[in-house]
Amino acid sequence: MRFLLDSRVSPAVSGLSPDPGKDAVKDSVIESLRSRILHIERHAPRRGASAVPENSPLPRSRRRLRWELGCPACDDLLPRGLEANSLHEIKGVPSAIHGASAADWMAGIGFAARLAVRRIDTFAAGEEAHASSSMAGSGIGPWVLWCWPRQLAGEFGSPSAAGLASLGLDPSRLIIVETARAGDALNAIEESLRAQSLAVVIGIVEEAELTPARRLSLAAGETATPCLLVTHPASEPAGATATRWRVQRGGSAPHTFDPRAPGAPRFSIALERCRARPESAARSPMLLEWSDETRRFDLASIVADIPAQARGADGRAVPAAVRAY
Amino acid sequence: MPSQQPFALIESGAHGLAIVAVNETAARLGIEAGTSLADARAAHPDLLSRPAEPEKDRIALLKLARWAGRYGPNRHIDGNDGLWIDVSGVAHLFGGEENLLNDMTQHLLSFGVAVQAGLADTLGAAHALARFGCPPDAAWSMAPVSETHAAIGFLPVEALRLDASRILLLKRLGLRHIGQLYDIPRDSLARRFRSSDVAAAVLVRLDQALGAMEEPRRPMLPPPVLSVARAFAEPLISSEALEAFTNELANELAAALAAKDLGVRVLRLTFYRADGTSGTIAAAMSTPCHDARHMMALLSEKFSSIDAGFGVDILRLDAVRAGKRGANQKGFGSPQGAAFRDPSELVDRLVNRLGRDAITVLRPNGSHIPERAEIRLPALDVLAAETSSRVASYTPPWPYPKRLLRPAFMLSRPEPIQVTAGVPDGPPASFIWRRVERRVARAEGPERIAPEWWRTLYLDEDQKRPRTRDYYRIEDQQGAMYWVFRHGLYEGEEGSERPSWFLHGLFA
Repeated sequence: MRFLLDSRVSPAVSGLSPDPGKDAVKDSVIESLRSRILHIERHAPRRGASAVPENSPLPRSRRRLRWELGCPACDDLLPRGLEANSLHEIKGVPSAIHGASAADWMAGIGFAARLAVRRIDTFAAGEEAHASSSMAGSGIGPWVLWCWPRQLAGEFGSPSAAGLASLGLDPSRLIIVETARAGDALNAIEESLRAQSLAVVIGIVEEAELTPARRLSLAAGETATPCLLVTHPASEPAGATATRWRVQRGGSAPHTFDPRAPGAPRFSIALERCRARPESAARSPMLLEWSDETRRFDLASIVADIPAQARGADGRAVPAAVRAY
Repeated sequence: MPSQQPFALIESGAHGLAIVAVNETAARLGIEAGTSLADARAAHPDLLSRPAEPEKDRIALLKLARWAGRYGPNRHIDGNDGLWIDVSGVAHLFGGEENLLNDMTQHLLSFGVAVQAGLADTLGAAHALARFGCPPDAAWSMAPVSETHAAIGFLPVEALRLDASRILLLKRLGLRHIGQLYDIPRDSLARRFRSSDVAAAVLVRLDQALGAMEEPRRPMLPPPVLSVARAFAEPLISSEALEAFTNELANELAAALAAKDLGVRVLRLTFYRADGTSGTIAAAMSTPCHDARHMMALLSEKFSSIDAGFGVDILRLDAVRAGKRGANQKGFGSPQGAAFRDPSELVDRLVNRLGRDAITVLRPNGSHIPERAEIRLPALDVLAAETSSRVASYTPPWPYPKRLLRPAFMLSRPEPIQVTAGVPDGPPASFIWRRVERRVARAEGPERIAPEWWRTLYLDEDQKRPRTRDYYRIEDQQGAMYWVFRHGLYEGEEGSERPSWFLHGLFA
């Protein structure tokens, strides 16, 4: 970023004398201008400093403004973790040029849902409260809102409580919003972000244009409620997002006990945009593995794949007949 | 219709066409309701007629009753040609009862409705005054508070809402005015009639008119718990003014609710336009609310839909339903108590905008069949039920183990797929879903889910029996995961229909 320090800003800055007192004033003015610019750009101050000013209307307990994926290799890409006061876009990889299959969507949605689990866990841990992961199902965790247009719900079916519980979300603390039109969904997401009642909002829409995306981003910033926006894999990316992730499903990890069964889910992740550290966006994709036990992402170990190769040679009887229906 | 022309509404009766109603000119000529049209035509050949439409009359009367809500929330139609309005505690808004009556009769006359109004302490007395007590030169007559005896004493006994046969009997006894009944001891009045129920009927009507006996009546709409209203000398047209006054009403209502320790659950704003029409906007809350700011947030979204027309001269805000606002414990040492606001306000706003069924929550349901094991309920109702049950935010636990691997999305109806699989219980090797073939890389299963046995108990021979499902969790070569099931078994199940395969869910 470039900015011009105009001498009209403050008479103290224009002084050319090497007076140390004036230098101190100059430094403090520059510092205050920097912090103002940071504030305008809604970037929290650098690592370590309190992210929210003391006079913020948010209660002290809400001042957890970041969360991480749990995997150091990935978290190092982000200077401050995932910012809670921002909009994060997640896109699948389209399997065709114009269209996307349900599987492409599912990769993005699955990644978003697990980021939401991370957010809730981080939040609970920050409250140094009653056990983090045991919160699921106990009905005392924070609420999560899920919003999508009816047309997508018709294609993928409805979120299932049992399935959400196996992802790690508490189904009894989930509000599902289904709107008739995509525009309504964006409005509802914005309204939810402003409500200060939710730990995270997961929005699934075809596309968010610049203006709605900017509105969502501002609403998220006001209340430090993060918004995870899953958009159509083949649509134009939304502007005004803090990060954008491109997610593809990798073959799952080998199952601990059954070599023929799917194991822990793996995602191939590329960070396409990172407002806080643009140079991170150029990195090559990495393969992450989600663990249901530790509830965090980890780098998938390729070496661990070796037992999977023995799959064919397990001596299991070939079915007597194979029929097609 | 030229008003000077005699005019009658007719209806086909037992003896040909009969007149049911006449206009003023016809009445002056001596044409009465009940005479046959032929007779009337013989005397007055220029009499115009139209068939009567009682159904339309009734609808018009109901419309009028809706309009009459501006004079009091409790009102309904009375017979085929009357309205009653409970104006208790309302008259001061119009500057006294006389002014209220003047205002109402002038409005009705300006709509072209002939009106006779009566105002009294009881419904019976008001009825008598309206129908029998109006002086010829006035549109209304009023019995001052607790002077009912005197006010209706001179009215004929017909005013008592009795059967014609009983009226006839009273007249035969020489009792022509209501006042004559006052002086007769009740026991001797009963003795004068042959049967005791005639006497009882007369006494009941008399007591109701005089207020000695309660007369239950059902208003058109359930009466609101609390209601605040404001009348304006000059009709309001700008939406800013409407909003500002609604805000005042909301503050007033909130104060009244707080004083009674109540919270509103259903809120209704009614605006009466100067031309006699009215409109409403309503909002529902998931928890009892006495916060004017929240009420306004819900109402103001719908302000754009208000059509002020020729201006709004009365605004009324009703708490249609209200609930006790209990103290709500946030949970014992729950850290989230302070961190997050209750989501009920958000739910209210979303419901207000998107409709009740668009905002749902998942709750357990009594079944082990995957699509029946959970149910989606409107969040508005669930949050209301869960906050009103005094146990702070307790939700019943889910009935299945936490680590059960189930798909995040369940298709609303399992979709048939074509599968290549091993017999009898091998997992699919490949399948075609939505016209795309997918090769299966890994599979886990079967997980057998038996049908609910209690549903099969009373099935007839020819009815289809629910079949066993064998579920598989499969992953295709692209890494996408699906939940598929084989409906039916290859062997060992009654009804030898071949099993079919369905895709039921998608793992995220």
